[in-house]
Amino acid sequence: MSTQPRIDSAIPGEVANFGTVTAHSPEVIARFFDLYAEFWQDGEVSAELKELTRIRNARVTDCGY
Amino acid sequence: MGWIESRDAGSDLAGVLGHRPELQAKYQAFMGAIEADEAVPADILRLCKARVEFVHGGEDPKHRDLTDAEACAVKIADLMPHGYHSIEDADVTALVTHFGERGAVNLLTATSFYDVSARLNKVFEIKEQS
Repeated sequence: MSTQPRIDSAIPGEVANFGTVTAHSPEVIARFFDLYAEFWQDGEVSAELKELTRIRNARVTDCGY
Repeated sequence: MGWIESRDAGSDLAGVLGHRPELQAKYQAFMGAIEADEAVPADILRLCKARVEFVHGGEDPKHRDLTDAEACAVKIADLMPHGYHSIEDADVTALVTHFGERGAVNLLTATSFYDVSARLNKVFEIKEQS
């Protein structure tokens, strides 16, 4: 597993992170953020429980982000 | 028959997501944007989708001989479901070489969400409509 970003930032002068690297594919990532924001919107599951599952999932999958 | 009834006539994942219409619409818009982007040829994306589904227990796509570009894309698809930590720098470099940075971002995003969709199909006990 790499510890360095494998793809450069698409935004000159900005460090490579999820937002700036995925900006290479702006239409796709815009739709991703629309979807992700909707996921966090209202619904039957509270934001607190969603956050708990997000953190748990990150731990199980050994996500260092 | 899945565990959660579809809200639409179809029985695919999008139909189940119809219980949250806004989520369904944005899921479909997102997946549509992936497939509309021309940085990665559509047939390579289809190849990757079939490969991810195969890893999750779907039908063997029985690939013909692959080009170098197809082979590096399929390697990512093979590793994304259970071996994402084994994706090496060289694998991503190969994607960038064949598809450019935009294509590499698009292909990595596509394969990761083919994995998401395959997992949801398994959890909801539904079959993806081809």
